[in-house]
Amino acid sequence: MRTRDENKEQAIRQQAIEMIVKYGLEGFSMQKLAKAANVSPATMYIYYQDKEDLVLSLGTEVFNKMQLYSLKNFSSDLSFDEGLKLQWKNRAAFFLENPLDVQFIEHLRYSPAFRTISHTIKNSFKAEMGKFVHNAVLRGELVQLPFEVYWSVAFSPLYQLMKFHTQGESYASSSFELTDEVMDQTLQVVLKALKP
Amino acid sequence: MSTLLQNRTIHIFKTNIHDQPDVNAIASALNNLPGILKWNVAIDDCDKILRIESTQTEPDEYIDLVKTLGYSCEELTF
Repeated sequence: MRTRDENKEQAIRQQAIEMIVKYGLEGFSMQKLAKAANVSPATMYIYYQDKEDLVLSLGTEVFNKMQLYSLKNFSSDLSFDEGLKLQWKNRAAFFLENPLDVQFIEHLRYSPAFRTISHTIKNSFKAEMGKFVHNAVLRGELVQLPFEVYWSVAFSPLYQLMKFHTQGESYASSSFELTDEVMDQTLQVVLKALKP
Repeated sequence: MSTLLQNRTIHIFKTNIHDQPDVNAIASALNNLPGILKWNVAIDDCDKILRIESTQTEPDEYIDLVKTLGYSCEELTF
């Protein structure tokens, strides 16, 4: 009987994320991972049923990590301005500190695995964000909008800034860095747009 | 190779179970074997891995069954 080596397992999971980011989901296989991690393919299949099982497990872990990070110091009772500012701050910090995880999620986003994951991940995040929006509307701090419209205005500008940051440039300038000033300037415009 | 985890043995075999029709062809035989808790074939793997979780520690019965059904089957080692 073999015992499960948690450190080794975590290292292999990290390696899997790196390989998926580098080669894409299609170019990634359990065999390649086993080779890179210097373990036998049989060992990989002890812990995961197949490639899909591993990808689902990795995706769920990264999503939960991302959502936990996003809820740091957050409460659905915060005023809308304060709450959205904290969400931007937390999400930007996660993005900057975990670029590999973010790229990994991007690879998953258009795969069948993504649907499965979004159905299985904990709903506490969705519930907390839903309550936050609901409270803000009740207090008259936020205009009532369909979810997709709200989300596009409230968060897409941040994600676009992060994209420019990753590219290191924008359409207009050859160097771009996401600073607190740029983020705050954008946030103020967003807050203004969402006022009733 | 086999590994004991939480009172179940995981058997890993290299096969030539190639595609979904092949999987369907072995499915009823495997589903009818007592002791099997769960099984799947990773047909996207070049080794066409058959993975069986079972209360049974010996792999021979599985190897014989899969061979009888016309496929190759060998236990993978570390």
